[in-house]
Amino acid sequence: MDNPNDRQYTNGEITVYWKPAKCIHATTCFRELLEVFNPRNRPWINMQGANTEKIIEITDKCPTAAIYWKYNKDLEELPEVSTDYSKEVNPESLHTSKHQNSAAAKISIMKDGPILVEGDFSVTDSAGKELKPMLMTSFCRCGHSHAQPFCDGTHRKVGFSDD
Amino acid sequence: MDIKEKTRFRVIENGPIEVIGDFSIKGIDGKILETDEKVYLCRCGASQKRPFCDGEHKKIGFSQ
Repeated sequence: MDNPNDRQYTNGEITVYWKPAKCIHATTCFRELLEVFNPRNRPWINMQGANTEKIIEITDKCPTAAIYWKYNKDLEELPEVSTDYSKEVNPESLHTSKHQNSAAAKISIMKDGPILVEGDFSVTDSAGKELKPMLMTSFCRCGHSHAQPFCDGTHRKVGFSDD
Repeated sequence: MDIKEKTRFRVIENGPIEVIGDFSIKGIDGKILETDEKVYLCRCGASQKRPFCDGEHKKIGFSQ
């Protein structure tokens, strides 16, 4: 079933879908294209902020597919249900990326943002007790998240900066 | 095909994240950082050696 928080935005040519439940605050979208993806605006995605090609390029960089896109002309040919899951992250895609970089876990430090992790890993507390199994996550790096040790996007509010 | 062990992230109370195993770290400039098989990643935001821990969390009284 669709989540009631999900939204979609269109410029007439493509539609960008937003699934907040999948967002891990990697911040790739608005660091690279604030004219379109601005979390301080409502609606936060402005499809008139850049051309279609640029919106596609940045949307494709979302590590969790919390945002993804479709050509509107394709939507008319597809049943609505199937369009929702076409770019969903699955374990196989993580497996592929793992082979491109032989490390079991890939860690990315996001500028002014969290620590992004994907691959084969486990997360434990100080005592070694596993928190929960996962394939991808983001750890707070600013010290202010209310979802410690994970990121909840608070780094933006506190102005956490690597500069 | 070699089977690798999971990388382990241990979240240390009031301190950094200890990472042990086979992993790669990409820095904020997109380049892979040279690391040992065990690192401590800053979680308090105050380290002068970010993304790594330099013990600063103790001075600022980081409590999480």
